[in-house]
Amino acid sequence: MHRVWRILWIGASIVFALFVAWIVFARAHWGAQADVGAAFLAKQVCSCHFVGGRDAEWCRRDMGTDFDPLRWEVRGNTVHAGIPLLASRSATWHEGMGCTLE
Amino acid sequence: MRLVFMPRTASSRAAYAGAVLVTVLVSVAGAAVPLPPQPAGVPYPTEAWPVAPPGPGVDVERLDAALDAAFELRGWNGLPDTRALLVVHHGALVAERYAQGFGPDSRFQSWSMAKTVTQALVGILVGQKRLDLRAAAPVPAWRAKDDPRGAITLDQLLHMTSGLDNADGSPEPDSFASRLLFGPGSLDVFAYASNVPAINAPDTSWAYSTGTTMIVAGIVGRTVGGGSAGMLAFMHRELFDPIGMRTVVPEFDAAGTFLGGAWVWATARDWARLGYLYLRDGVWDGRHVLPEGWVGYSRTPAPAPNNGVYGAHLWLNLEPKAKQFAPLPGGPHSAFCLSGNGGQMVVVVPTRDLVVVRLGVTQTMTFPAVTQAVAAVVATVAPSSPEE
Repeated sequence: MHRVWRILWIGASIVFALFVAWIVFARAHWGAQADVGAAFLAKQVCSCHFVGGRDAEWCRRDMGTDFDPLRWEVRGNTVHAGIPLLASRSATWHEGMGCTLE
Repeated sequence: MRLVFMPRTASSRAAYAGAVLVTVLVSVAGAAVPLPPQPAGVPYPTEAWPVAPPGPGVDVERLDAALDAAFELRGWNGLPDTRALLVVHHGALVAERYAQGFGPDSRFQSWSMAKTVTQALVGILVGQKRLDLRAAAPVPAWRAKDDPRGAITLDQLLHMTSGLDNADGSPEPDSFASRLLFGPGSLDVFAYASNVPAINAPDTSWAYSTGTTMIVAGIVGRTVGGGSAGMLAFMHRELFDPIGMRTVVPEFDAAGTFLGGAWVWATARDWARLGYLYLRDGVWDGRHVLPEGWVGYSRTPAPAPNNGVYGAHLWLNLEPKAKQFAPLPGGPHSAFCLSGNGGQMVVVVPTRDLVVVRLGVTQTMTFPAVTQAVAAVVATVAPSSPEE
């Protein structure tokens, strides 16, 4: 029984290590691109919605399908966008001054 | 303009001299066309645009057909790519059309039309003698001894002939523009855009650069003072309020710099007001909002070959060479325009006393198709000046 647990523990560690390695690899190769994409989505949806006065879902659809892999949401005056573990950006609206990327 | 550097080789000097000669000839040909005065009895559109049916000199049937054609192609939201199209003729709004769901109260993003807003602010500060076009541009990062960037002037930044290594590049995520606007530069566009080397002597090359405009916007902000709040107050007091642009929202980065290369929002009628200011030579209801000579200066071509005919943060419609694009193909050489990504256009045609505004996207239309659609609208209006 002890041996079984030991095998499971080693297996889980290997899987976890591979997962971390994949994250590091993905961030190195696609992180910058994902960051730019997340920022673009956050900024454009924020400005279109809060400054342009249009529905946020409409604003997102108007950007086309290239941004489909990204998740996004509006929380208060901020639009958050990104891909989990890879990129996360946000843009916040300020009265009279539009949306600012953070 | 003051020449600080000269090209080093005989062949590049000859090419440079040729470019200067062509520039002078072209500027004499096109920029000399005077701007028309305000028609007698027509109020400036500070409070509201005078509205009138198209008058003599407008082919109404062709205009309707041109508007129909401009709104034909549909994109991702089931809407036409053209979301707004306005025509101002002899000081009155004679045509105004919007895609479904848009109207006179809808704000539209400028993209690079904001560059002309930025240059208007420079003009105001030049008129107030707070900036000097021919002096070294006041950029702190360039002040080190022997830094060649220390000789770059505001004039060279406005004509995009600074020689800085900050050309926009492609729309890809790894281009300079993408990194500036959405990547590592997005938190402080002024610092990011100005922290690049000079790779050419000023006035020897041209490169379209949103980063350059962010540098100019940063210079304006630092000259005005008061951070983003001070800049916003200045913009409204000196430019937007005097000409009745009440819906305009300029945007800022986290460091407080006006994002003057890409982000100003306003209604189509307000964008028409900005174009109208340039049509009237910077004069609004008897007051010089832009200093005397500023619009003429803005229409002087950049002294280096480029992909269109570029003035000082303004696109010109002078005779294009091979591989150059014209913002108004087949249209009058007197025309000039504000232009932004997605086919944002405010076209000013002095010889027809005309402003045409087209706003929207290019999801199915190409940019050349947009310019042709706008040119088709302009073509329905007869010249009203013997200069054309």
